[in-house]
Amino acid sequence: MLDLSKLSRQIHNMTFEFGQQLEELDGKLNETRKLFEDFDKDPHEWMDKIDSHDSHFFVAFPKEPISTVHSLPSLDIPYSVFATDGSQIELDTHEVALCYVINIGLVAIHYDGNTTPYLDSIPKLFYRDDDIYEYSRGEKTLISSTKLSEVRSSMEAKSLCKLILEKRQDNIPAVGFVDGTLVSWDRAASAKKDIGAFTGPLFEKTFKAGEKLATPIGGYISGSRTSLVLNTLRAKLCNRPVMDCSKCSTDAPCRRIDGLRDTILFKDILKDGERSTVFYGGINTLDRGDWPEYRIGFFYINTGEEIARIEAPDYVLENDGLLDLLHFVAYDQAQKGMGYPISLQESHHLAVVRGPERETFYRLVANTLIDAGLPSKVTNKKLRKTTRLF
Amino acid sequence: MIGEIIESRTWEFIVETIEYDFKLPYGSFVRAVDEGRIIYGIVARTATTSIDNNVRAKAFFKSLDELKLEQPQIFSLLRTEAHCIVLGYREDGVYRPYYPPTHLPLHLQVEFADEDEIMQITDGLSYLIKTIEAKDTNCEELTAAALRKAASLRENKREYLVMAGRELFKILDYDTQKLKSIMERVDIV
Repeated sequence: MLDLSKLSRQIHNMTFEFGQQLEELDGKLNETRKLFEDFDKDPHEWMDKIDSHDSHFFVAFPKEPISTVHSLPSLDIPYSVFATDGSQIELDTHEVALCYVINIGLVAIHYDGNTTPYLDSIPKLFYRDDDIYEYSRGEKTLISSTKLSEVRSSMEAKSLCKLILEKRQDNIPAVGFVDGTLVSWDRAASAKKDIGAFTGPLFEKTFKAGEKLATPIGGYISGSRTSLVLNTLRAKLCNRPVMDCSKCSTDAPCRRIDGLRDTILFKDILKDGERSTVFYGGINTLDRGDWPEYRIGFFYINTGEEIARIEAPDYVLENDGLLDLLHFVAYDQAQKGMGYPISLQESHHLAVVRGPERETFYRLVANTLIDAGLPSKVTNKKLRKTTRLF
Repeated sequence: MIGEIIESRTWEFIVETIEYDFKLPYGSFVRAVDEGRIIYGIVARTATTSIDNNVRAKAFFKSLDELKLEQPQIFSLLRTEAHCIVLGYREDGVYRPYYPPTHLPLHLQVEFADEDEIMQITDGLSYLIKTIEAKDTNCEELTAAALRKAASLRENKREYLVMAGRELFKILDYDTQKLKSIMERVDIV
């Protein structure tokens, strides 16, 4: 039981502190705007600073002048959109069976006025040792939530690939979306100079299909909290000869703009429908020929409701036609969905497993076990949590 | 086929129509075949709702044509259900105006009853008891709809309606006001 009366004072304190932070952000934003405007005057000065050491904040490099803004392409054409999203019934060691379910929602909508949309969900049950255990240095442990997310992303990618191959119509441009990032930027951040970390290995087959059929694949990130572009701008504030952030304390001059996010900056820059230039993480000095296959980059877009981050592989970002298509469809989808792409909303609704459905699932497992004459028992803890003693 | 049975009780069955926009007229006579038995019902209530019981459809304030172009997926998220009251059943060639011994299994296909079948169901007048006692619907409206259909199939409509009116008068416990209210809605003669 949650005693809200005891929490309310803490909530008040939190609200007060949030308000203070918001006031501080205004000042930081002004300073960051100046840095942003200065950047294009001499980007080399900033790049040299960033390249002076490996242990710097995680940064992103613009493909064009950083202040480039692209207005919404006027592509008033029929198009198709494909989207997948996943959800799961997590592993519960107190339940009748050690297993988990991943449910993938699949959506294909064709805006041609006559093709029926395809809306479906496909669940998969995982119960074998290889599915539920991880083996590391001889130790056998239950699958971690990170690994589970990876299995889910992999299924989302495969399903999206299938959708593109099976549902794409000739001569109608199409775009594929997944909810969230295509690459683990946290992992990439810890391996800044390992350019391989800036690819989406789980999506390789999907990208191949997308590239062959001229179909952009995009990861749509709503409410992005990253500060990759801001970190690039911080280089100017650095007063050390080399930019070794691991040596600096929290009172370093670049910390002045701490707390801002890329989305706050671009909210100030991008008008409705506009997108930023493309940014890539990793190394800024590589020739295109030396890039890993399907290097992931991103851009920010003002959907009218928010600044969303769209990630995509280089076959899209380096092709103006595909990039325009992705830009237009991301915006149009967000309009149709009143703030968030309608195709991703629907795939989420199809994927999501509600509480009662989870209970029904375990009841079905229990009944099937009993029918087969196998033991079916929840742990005492589970039993006592669901049936309280009075 | 009209649709499929998704809920079944002794006195009624609920049909999900094959398309969300399938036009299933109120008061239609329908049938479902359960092995050697044909069960007849009358459509007493229909509704189109969102497939997700927790969420209502949203107003877009656009024409249907515009929506089909801009939001084609919303039409896949709608469903139409019809509640049908069981009137009787036919077995071994004989129509019996009472509930079958067992209620209908789920997932049976439901179709419109033929005119001959409707004639047979409405030859006896006990179906009027079922429509008058129907729950969760306007029983006067339902009775009037059934009478309109039954009379429309007969050559001598007036004669049939007079006979049915007399029977109804008894069923209504001689409530002239109610009888008048129903017969006023049977405006086919």
